[in-house]
Amino acid sequence: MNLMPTAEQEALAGAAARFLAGGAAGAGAGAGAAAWSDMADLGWFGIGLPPELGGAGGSLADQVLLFRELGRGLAPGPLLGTVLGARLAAFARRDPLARSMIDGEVTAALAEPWRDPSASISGNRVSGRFRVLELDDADLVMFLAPDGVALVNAQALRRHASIHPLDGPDPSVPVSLAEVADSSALTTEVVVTGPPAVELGARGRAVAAALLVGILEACRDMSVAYVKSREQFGKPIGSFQAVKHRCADMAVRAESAGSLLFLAALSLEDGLPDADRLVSSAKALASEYAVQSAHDNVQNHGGVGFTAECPAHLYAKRALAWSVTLGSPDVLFAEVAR
Amino acid sequence: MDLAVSAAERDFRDRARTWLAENVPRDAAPDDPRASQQLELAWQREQFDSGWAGVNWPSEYGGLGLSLAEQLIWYEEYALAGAPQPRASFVGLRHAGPTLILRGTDAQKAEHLPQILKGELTWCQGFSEPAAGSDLAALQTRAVIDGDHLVVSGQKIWTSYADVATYQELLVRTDPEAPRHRGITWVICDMRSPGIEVRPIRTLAGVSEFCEVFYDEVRIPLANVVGELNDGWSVAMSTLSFERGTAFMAEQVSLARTLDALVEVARVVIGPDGRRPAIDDEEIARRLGRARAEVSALRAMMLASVSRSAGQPQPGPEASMIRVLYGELEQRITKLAVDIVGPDGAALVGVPGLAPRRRSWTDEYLWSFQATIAAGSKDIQRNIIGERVLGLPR
Repeated sequence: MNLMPTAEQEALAGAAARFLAGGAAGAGAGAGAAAWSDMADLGWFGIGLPPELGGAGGSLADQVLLFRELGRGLAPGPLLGTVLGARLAAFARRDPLARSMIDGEVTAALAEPWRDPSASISGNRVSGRFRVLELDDADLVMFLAPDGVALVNAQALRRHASIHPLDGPDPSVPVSLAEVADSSALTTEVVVTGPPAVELGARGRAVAAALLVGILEACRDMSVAYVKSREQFGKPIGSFQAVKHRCADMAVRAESAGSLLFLAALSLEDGLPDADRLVSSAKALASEYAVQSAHDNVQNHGGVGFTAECPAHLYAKRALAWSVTLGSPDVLFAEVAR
Repeated sequence: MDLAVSAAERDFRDRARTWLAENVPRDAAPDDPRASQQLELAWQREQFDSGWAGVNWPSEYGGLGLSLAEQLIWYEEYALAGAPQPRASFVGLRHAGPTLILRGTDAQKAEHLPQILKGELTWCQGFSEPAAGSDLAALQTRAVIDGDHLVVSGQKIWTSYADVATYQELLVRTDPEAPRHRGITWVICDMRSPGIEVRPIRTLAGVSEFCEVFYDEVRIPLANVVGELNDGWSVAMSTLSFERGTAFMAEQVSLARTLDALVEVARVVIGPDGRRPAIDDEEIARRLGRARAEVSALRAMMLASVSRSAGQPQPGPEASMIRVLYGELEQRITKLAVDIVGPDGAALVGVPGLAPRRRSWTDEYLWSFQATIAAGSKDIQRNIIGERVLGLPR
């Protein structure tokens, strides 16, 4: 048993970190499209999928390591929907569809039930109220519900559902609420129910948790760098216990959520009996912790942290957007208790 | 990164589980330190005689000579089997022994390690003083060289089980002129020596577990110095990293068991709103779930720490992250228990089918207050994380 990344995994994560640090995640629609195609070329949307489909092979652990970097780098675009969609299409043997997502030509938004116990994916029909991330330019929508998972044509959703664009916390993660009435239930492109759907949901939670762990680490590192250099009362503020201890707590959160995430991802891949509970635990903790550490990071930067110029707010906003995606802490903690 | 378990490890776990299932003592340990020590030593002797003592201790000194990974497996199975966690024998097994393995001379190891593993005696710790708690390097207990002996005078405090221990890991000041971290020596003190007086201190939990120890010209052979004279600070850092890191491997499994027991309680007792089982109360369920998630995270941190150490037995300063989370989690879980059953346990009255507990939930909660004080307060642990893990200025 070993929870440390292999040299190969370090190389994958390191390459991703360098790519993202190079400004690939830059603003603007054009930059986003270029970055998307670069990310596809790097094979990032096909991790864990077979080379025959254009996939890059590898494990869920590899994917989690990559998504930690994407979270750290605040990478743009419909990442979660697309990688889960590619996996669903591959599972359903819709090879050309899978390949198109892996190649970066087709993107998938992400939709999950929003406080609607009757939301469902059954037969080849989707209905209910859903929270949809990154619908804007998406070609498909990846739906995940407790009873099934499905890919739906985004045009069909736009036509049949009543869509309420929301004022989401993070302008670079567009959010909307889509209500699909029973009478106009959507027809799916691909649908899977039962254990494979549950497994895909758990994978989605693990990957979402990885994005949040990336934020946890980024906030910790950003705070540490700042409090080492910022001086007040003639010394670095990181020498003051109140600040130092806040940073220590950020480190404990990053270390505990990160370690749990890797244990959970490996357990899921190995099909261990407690895997679902570990994955839900990791997502719930990473969500709660990331929101807290992102807030602490602003606090550590003082007045500067409250400005638009300081990137601290970007992590706070992204953490909020992702914290309720694929399982909010409230729902997941209650599930883990039982 | 993988969860692959070697055939040897799987076999070790299976054999450990089988042996523990048949041999774990079922009697509740008494609170009286002397009586509990005797039971512990007998149980330790039984483990040794059956070939289970000192899993990652060197085989030439009575251990099994296996890896830290196997030591962790043993701790997990040990706790899962409900075996009694060491109390009087904690210091010897969990940090004095490991310190001697790392820093002791061959003669020291040959004398002391087998005694600890065979359950012949127990150790205690003499680090803190009334004026040197969190600021351990301020310690003043003096040791003067006289021929081939150190002559020790001063006072130690918070020494658990000093009244029943045979040896002590003792920090003394051997060079008062040197900078304060460079004049300290780590020495093995025989608690039977003339000039030692032990006075038990009553804790808030009622038991007299820890003590003050007074030294009046106590003679300790120089051969008992561990590491070099005046290099005791670095030896003490080894001791503390064991105390804060690997020593808690077993306890985290016990904590998970405690939490499982609490979830069972929450299913059957009426919750704080008086209308439904506690577990149906959203806030209680959320706190239980969060605690479960954090217990899993704690275990993952242990596994990561073992992976990171790559066979090195001594944990780094990252151990303080485990210690902080463990201590605060123990407090959160026992406080949650108090909220579920009531501070006087009223919710448990007339509820059938619950396993009896050695201590009440409220006593466990009060006891847990020590979890963020012992082995370095949570404030000191956060200083260590800040300064030695994150590199923040002092």
